[in-house]
Amino acid sequence: MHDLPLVIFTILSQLVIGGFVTLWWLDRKKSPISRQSGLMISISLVVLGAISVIISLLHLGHPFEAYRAILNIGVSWLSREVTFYGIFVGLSVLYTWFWLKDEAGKRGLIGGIASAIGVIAIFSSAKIYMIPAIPAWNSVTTLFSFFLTSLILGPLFVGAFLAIRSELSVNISGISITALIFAAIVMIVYFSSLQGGLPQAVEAARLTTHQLLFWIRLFTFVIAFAILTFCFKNQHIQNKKIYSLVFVILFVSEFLARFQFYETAIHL
Amino acid sequence: MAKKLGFLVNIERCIGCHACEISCKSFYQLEPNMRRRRVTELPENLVGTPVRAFVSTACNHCDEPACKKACPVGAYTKREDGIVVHDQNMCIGCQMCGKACPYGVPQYNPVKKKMDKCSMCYDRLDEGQLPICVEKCPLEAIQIVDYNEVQPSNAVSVVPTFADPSITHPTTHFILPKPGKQTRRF
Amino acid sequence: MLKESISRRTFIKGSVSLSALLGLGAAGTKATKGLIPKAAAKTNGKVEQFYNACPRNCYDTCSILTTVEDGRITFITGNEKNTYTKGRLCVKGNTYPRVVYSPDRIKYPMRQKGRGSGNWERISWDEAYTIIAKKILEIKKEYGSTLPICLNKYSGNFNILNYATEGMLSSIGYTTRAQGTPCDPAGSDAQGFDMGVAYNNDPEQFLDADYIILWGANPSWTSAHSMYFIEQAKEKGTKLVVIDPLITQTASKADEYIQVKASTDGALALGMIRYIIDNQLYDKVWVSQNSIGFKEFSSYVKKNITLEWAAEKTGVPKPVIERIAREYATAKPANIWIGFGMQRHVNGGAMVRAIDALAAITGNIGKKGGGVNYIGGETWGFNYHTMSFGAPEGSGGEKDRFVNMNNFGAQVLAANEPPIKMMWIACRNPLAQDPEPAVVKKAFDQMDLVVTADLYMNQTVEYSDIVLPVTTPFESAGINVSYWHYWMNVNEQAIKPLYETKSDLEIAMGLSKKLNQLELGSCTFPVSGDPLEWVEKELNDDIKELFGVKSWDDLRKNGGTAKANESITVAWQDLKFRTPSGKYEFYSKKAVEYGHHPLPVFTEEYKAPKEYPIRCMSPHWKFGIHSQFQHQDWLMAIQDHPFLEIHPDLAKKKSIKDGNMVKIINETGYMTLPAKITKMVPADTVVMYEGWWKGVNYTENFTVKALQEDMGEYQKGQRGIAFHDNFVNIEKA
Repeated sequence: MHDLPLVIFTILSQLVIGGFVTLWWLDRKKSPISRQSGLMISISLVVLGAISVIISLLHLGHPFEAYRAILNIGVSWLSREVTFYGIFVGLSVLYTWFWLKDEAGKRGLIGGIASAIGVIAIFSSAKIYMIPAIPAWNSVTTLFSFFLTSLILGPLFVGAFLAIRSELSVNISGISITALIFAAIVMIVYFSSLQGGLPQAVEAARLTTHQLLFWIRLFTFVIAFAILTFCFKNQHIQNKKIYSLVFVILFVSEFLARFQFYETAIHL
Repeated sequence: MAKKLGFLVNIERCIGCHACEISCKSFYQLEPNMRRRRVTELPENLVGTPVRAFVSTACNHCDEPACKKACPVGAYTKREDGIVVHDQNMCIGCQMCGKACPYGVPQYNPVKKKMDKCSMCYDRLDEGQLPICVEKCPLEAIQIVDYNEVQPSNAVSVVPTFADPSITHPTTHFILPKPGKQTRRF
Repeated sequence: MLKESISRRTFIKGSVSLSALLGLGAAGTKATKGLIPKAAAKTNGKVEQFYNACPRNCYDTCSILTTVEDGRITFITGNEKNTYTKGRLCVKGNTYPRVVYSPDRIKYPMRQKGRGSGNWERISWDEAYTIIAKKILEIKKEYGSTLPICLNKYSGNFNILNYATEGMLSSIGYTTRAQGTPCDPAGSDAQGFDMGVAYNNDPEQFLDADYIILWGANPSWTSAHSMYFIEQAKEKGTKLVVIDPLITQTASKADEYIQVKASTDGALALGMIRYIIDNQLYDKVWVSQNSIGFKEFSSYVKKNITLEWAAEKTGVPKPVIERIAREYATAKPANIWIGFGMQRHVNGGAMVRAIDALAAITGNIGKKGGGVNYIGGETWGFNYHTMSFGAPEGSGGEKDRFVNMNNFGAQVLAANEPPIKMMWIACRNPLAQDPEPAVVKKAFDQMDLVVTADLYMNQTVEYSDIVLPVTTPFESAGINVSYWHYWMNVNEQAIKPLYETKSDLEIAMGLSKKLNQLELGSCTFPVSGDPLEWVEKELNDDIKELFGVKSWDDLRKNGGTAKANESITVAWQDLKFRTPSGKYEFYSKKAVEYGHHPLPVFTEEYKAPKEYPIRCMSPHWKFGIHSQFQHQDWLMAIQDHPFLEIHPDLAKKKSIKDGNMVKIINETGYMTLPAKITKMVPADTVVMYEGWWKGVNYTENFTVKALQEDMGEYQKGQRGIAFHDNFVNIEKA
C-alpha cells in the first residue's frame, strides 16, 4: 500500500503518454478531429498529467524538494524519468496551446517531439525497476508491460472520447486487441520466467497468484478482450458506451496488475 | 593508491548478540525500528556440525553502489577511501535507493522522512576513531580492512543470506567459523 | 561527574589490530561537502560524562560511561578503565538509553481500582505514602505486629543502596520475608559443603587456563565479557569444551561439544573421576595435603561408579568420557565454569559436588587460571547501613518470618497466625518469574494491599493496587560489585529523575516520614538524607583497603571503577578452606547435618511422568535478564515474540512445522507459542526462553511446578527450584 502513489503515477503517466501519442497521430493523419474535441482531449491529458505529477510527489518524504530529483540525470533512471516526463507534460501544455490557437503545423511538430520524449520517459520509468535487487522486476517484461499499459489505455481513452463526441473515424479496437494479445504473451513469459528464476522471483509469482486481485485482474482482462473482439468483428456497434466501458474495465485491470507488481516485489 | 575500506566480519567469533546493532542505534539515536547494522541468523548446517551462527552486516560500501545509481538527487558519494556516504540534507525521501540496494541497506527514517544508512562512521574514522560497531563488539568480531592493501586469505565474499556480490561488488568480507567436534545424543 | 571537553580521544582503541588496519585519521580523506559530522554538530550544548554501574542480576555487572548533553543522555557505553568491561556493553546494556527514555516508563504513583482491571488513576506521592502507611499501622493494630506484611524483593537491582527497601521494612517491625533465591542455592550449598563457601577465580584468568570446561554455562548470552576472554584463550590454543544438554551459542563456539542428558552431569563427572583414579591421574599430593575424606570418596567411586554406567546414564560414549577425563586431568591449569542452569534440578547440588570433586582430585583448586568456578561473594563486604535500624519499640513479634521465595504463592497462602495481608514488591516480577504463577496470583488475591515499585507495567504491576515509579541507575546514586568478577563500580546520578520517579532509598525515607507523621516512632528509618552520604556509609576500612580506594567520591573522581587486590582473585590460593576441618571436604559432616550424603555421590535425576514425557527447559535469553530488557522496542524490533525450540524428529512425530503454534501442557497449566524447528535441542527436550515480550501473554514459568532442588538451606536459607525438571507434552495447536 505504501507504493500506491507510484501505482497511480505509473498507470496515469502511461495512459497520458499513450493518449497523447494517439491524439497526435490521429491529428497528423488529418482525421476529422474538431478543434474543440482536440482541445478537450489535450486539456484532459494535461490535467491527468498534472494529477499524476502531484500524486507522484506523495511518494516522497519531502515533496517540496522534488525539484532536486533531476540532479542525477547522468546516472539515475529515476532522474531521467522525472526530467523527461516533466518535459513531456510541459510540451503537452504547449501542444494544447496550439490546439487553442488551432495551429496545426506547430501542433504536429511539438506533438511529435513530445511523443518521442514521452516514449523516452516510459523507457526511463521501466529502467528504474529493472534492478537485480528485485528479481521479479529485473527483466525486459517490465519494459514491455509499461509500454503495453500505454498502448492499451492511451488509444482507448482517446477513442472513447471521440466516440462520445461522435467523431471516431478509425477502428480503435484493432490496436487494443493487438496490445492485449501482446500483453497476454508478456504475462505468460513473465510468470514462466519468474518460476524459473531466483527464489525471490518464485515467491513473487506465488504471492501474486495467491491474491484474489490476480484473478479479478485476469477476469477483467478476458472480459475486455471479449468485448473488443466482438466490436472488431461488428464494426457497426462501436459506440461510446462500449468504449467507455472497456476503457474503465481495462483501467481497473491495469491498475490491479500494477498494484500487484509493487506489492509482491520480493527484495533479495 | 586509494584505499578500499570494508568491513571484515569474523563469524567464527560472532556470538550473534546484536550489541553492534544496538550500540549503533544508541550512538546515532536512531528511531526504534531503524537498523543501520543487522545481525542475521545463518543456516544451522553452515559448517557441517549443527551450530548457532550469525552474521552481522551493515552497508557494504560497494565498489559499484546501486544506491548511488538509483538516487535521483545524487545524495550518494563514494569517497576516495571507498566509503559510500549518503547526504541526508540532499535526500528527498524517494526511497529508490532502498529498493535498488541488493542488501536493502538504506532505510526510511519515518521521522525525518529521509533515507538513512551506515556511514562506516566516517567522521569518527576521520578523527582516528573506529566505527562504533567495531569498537563496541564484545567479541571484537568486526574489523575495518583496507582491501587494497590486504586480502585476508581466510576471508570469503559471500555467505548464505548475503546477496550475490557480483551485482554491486560489496567490500564486506567474512571469516567463516571452523567446525568443532561434537558428541550428540541424536 | 567528569566533564569532558569536546576534543575527542584521538588514539585508536581496542585491540582490533589486523596489520591492514588503517592508519586512521592519517590519510586526509575529506568529509564530503555539505555533510555535518556528528561530533561537530553536537558541540553547542554542555557535554558531561558520568560513571554508572549496571545493577542487573548478571555476572558481568559492567562499569558504564554515560554521556549527557544538555541534561539528556545521548550515549551509554562501557567504561574502558574496567579491564573486564573493556569499554563495551552487552546488547542489553546498549539499550540503556531506551530503558531511561522508554515511552513505557511508569511516570507517577498510581492506584488501580480493581486489581488487574487496568483501571489506574494517578495519585500523588503523598497520597501513595498515606494509603500505604495507614495500612501498615492498621495491620499492626489489628494483628499486634507487622508480620502480616510481606516483602518480596530480589535481584532486579543489586545497587547496595537498594537494600533500603529491606531496611525500611525492618524499620517498621518484624515482617514476613520471601527468603532464598531461585538462582544458585543448590550449587552454593554444594560448594559450601566442599569448600566452606562458593568462591570463584577472577574470570579474566580464563586467559591463563590451559583447558576450559564450560559445564552448563552459556556465557555467549549471559556473560558476553567472559566470552571475550574465553574466545581469546581459545585463539591462543586453550581447548574449549562445552558440556550441555543443548547446543547453546557457546557450545557452537566450542572446540568440543558434549551433549549430556540433562540432570546427569554428576554421573559424567563421577565417570571421569573413576577414570582419573583408575589411571592414577589424580594429584595425590594435593589430595593428601588439602582434603579430608578422599579415601571414602575413592572407595565409593570404585564400588559404585563404572564408565559403562556413566556412559549409559549420560548418553556420552565411554571413549569420549575417557578422553575428556584424561585431557582435563593432564591440562595445567584446567578451568571449570559451572553454570547456574546445570544445578536447577532435583539433584543439582549433588551434581555440583561431583564436579567440585573432579577439580579437587586434579589439584585444580587454588590455582590461577584453574578452579571450579561457580559464583563468589568475596567483594560484597559492605556495611549494608540501610538495613541497620531495627524494629521500633512496641512493634510486636520477635523476629522476621520467612517464606520460600521459590514457592512463594503456596507459602504465602499457607502462612497463618498471623496471615499475610499486605505485600511490598520491589526489584522482582513474581507473577512472571515464580513457578506456578497461578498460585502466586491466588496469594495476591488474599492481600488487602499490594504495593509494587517498578519501572514498567509488567505482569506483577498489572496485578497490584499501588505502583511506585522507580528510577533507572542513571537517575540515582549507588555502588555495585559482581558475584563473578572482582571490580567495584561507582554509580553516579547522571540526570535528574524523569517524571516523578524515586529510588528505593528515597521511597524508604518518604514512607518513614509519613509513618512518623501518622504515628511518631512507628518507623526507625531516617526520614531524610543525601544519597551521597548514604553511599559513603557503605564503605568500611576493609573494603576500602581491598579495592585501594579512599571513598566513593575518590573512586568517582578516579575512573569510577576499581579492582580488588590480587590477594583474593585466585580462589582458595592459600588452600585454607572455610569448612569445619579447614580442608577440602570430600566427606562433609555439614552435608550430613543438612540431611545429605556426606560424599559427592550420584543421586537420581527426576523421572519424567508417563503423560508428560518431554523435558521443557527455560534458559536465559540473549535479549533479557529474567523479565528485564526484552520488552523494550529496540529489542522487540529484532525479536517480537517468544518461541519454542523443537528438534526436527520430535516435530515430525507431532506433525509440527516451523512456525506452527504449539500447545505445551502439563498438570500445572498450558500455553501456546510458535515452534522453531532446530537441531540445537535434543529430541526429548523442548526449550523456551525467559523473558517478557511486551504485549504477549507469556511467561516461561507457566508450566513450572514448585519442585525443590536437593540443596539450598545451608547457604541461602531455602532450597532452590528445579526449573529444568519441568516435564510437559506438546501438540500442534
